[in-house]
Amino acid sequence: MNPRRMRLGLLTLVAAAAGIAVVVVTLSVLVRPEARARWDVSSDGQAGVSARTAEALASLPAGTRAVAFLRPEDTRLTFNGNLVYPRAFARLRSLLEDARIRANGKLELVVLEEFSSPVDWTRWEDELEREPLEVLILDIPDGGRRKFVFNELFTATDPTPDGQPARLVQERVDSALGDAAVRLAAGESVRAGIVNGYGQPRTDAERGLRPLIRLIRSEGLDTVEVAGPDTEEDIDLLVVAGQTAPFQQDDLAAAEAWIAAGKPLFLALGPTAPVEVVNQWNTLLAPAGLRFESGMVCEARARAGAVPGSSAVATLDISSGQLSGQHPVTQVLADSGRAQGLLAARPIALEGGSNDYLRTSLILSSAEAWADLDRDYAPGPGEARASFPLAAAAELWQADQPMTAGRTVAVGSVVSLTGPRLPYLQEFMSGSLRWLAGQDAAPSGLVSLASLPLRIERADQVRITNLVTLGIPGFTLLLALMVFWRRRR
Amino acid sequence: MRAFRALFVREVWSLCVSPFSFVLLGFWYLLNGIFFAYLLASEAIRNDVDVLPQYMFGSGVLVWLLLPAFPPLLTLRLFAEEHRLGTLEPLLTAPVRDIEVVLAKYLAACVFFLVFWAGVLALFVVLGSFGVAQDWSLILSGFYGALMISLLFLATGLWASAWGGNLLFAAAGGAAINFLLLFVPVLFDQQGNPLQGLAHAMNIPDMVDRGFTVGLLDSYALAYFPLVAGLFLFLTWVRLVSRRWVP
Repeated sequence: MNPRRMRLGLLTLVAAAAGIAVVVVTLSVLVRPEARARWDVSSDGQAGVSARTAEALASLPAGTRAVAFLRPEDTRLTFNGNLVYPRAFARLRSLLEDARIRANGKLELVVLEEFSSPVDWTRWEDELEREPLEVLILDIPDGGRRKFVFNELFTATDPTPDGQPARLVQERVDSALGDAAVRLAAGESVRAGIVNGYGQPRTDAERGLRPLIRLIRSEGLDTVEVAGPDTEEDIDLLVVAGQTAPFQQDDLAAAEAWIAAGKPLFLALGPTAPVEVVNQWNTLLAPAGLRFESGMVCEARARAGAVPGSSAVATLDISSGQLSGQHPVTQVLADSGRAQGLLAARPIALEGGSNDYLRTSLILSSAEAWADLDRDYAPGPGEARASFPLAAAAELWQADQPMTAGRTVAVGSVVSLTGPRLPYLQEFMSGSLRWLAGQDAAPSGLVSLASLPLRIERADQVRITNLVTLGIPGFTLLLALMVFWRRRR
Repeated sequence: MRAFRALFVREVWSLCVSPFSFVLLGFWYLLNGIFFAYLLASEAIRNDVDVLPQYMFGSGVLVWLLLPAFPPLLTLRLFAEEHRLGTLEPLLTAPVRDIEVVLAKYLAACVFFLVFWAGVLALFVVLGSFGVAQDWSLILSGFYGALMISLLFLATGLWASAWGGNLLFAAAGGAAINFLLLFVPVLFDQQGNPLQGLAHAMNIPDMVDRGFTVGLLDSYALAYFPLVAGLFLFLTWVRLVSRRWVP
């Protein structure tokens, strides 16, 4: 080869390599999270995570992972069109990327998309023990883990019967991530004791309480199964669902002490709970002013085939209007128009009790419901139609008490907390657990995702289409013709 | 500086009186106009007009198909045609520094490409004139991101144009480099890939979708485009002047 060409080529290569090296070195310095600065120029200033969340994530040990599972799984949200998931996932992606950068390299981000390799999906799902509907898992190296279900991070309205799709209205990714990071960094977690020694549904069966335990864990709470309230375990929240045998003396005393100490309690008793059990709890809850009544609340819905005499009347559709808009447990659901579902529910009364307690009915039946006492699924004599509380909450309200003092949630249905029925009450349960665990500051972290619907007349849209597809390009091409013509001359 | 200014004005003027530039501009407006009209009729935009800037400046498929292809079409004539017509040697021997020649041609192309994007911005103005409320912070942030990518793609187009008098090579080469810059990092930015870190740092759609179009400006993204564009300008300069290094 010509020696001149060789030298020329070599010099060119050296110069090019030097230029590339300078740029690569500069970029490798600039790409490090600690060297990066980010500016939020969005009009609401909420395009990225807050300084609090960034600091909390930066305080986590190195090697912490945030794994996002971005696959639409709730079919309710994709009826009449899929508007919720693309926007929610886009928001989650940008917030997580912002969190990764601002956590100063402490956070490893893994985003699994719908089109990602099934091998990766399976590997991450197995490794993190992911359950359906979980969309984000924060995992720290020493074993601490926080799982987030979609509905916990995003609030969406339901699709409407007239063909409107579900809409995303709010999200709380930033506050949820921040709360989880603070707890994981501090090694603090709320421990829920699941009572299983008094004839409760099985806790290891899918048709039993296993889905509920999974939900409790996905809310960031640790769970431990205990035979009764009289336990050596160090627990912060007592969960009693579906008790069918009355407490022994020691457990009864422990339950009484638990309530007297103002510790949080979740209690679910269905219409089939024995009278002794109901009486025991009514006595225990008397100071809080909550009382389980007799019967099963039924409601005829002719359109759904639930006519009097049919057991279908025990299935209750709870519209958002039947949820309390004033209580932290149900406020978000009521505001966003989310419906819930209950099956076989016992009415609850809010009466009497100490003035130290605040009491709220969380879920009401419709005014057409009746409490069926004789199990004929039809309104009979002495079964008057009324609006019955189906779930209620109570709490102590003295200022010198801890935030969770005396917090109690009572639900009149057990079947709704088991197996395939739980998804219909999942959002209510998530709200209840967060409130009982003292995490109800979360609504303050809600970011409104107000959408700006395009509302233009058909004629205006045609004008815009003509202008942007014919007017502007046509004028430019006309200019090209004029320039061409001038140059020809 | 005076020579640079004269060269710059000459290049801008030559682009402004070129029918080819206007034909390109017309097609750019037409394709973006059709895309815009299509989006306005789509369910996603009818439900939330705030996501329109993301489609027009970032997430839209048309953006990633048009944007890598158009800048090289604009820059193909800057050096390749001079080479073909034999005017490059006189230009490089004129009393003007080589780097000034490169920068004047590049900046002229940048100014003209600004007109391309201004037309897209005008689509939002048209929509606003019909009383549609829009989030202008997102529109301008997305617009800025699109400009940044254009700066890079014009620089690659200029480099491709500096390799000889073959216009087809200049256009196709520039577009090919742009598509590679755009899509190769996306392919390697996968979990478990040993090159993921590098690919993620070069993932342009990611920088746009999770940055500019959602209203987040990142110092790395702001530095990445000018630095890589600067690298291609440097390579263009090396390509033009290296022949003088060896007598």
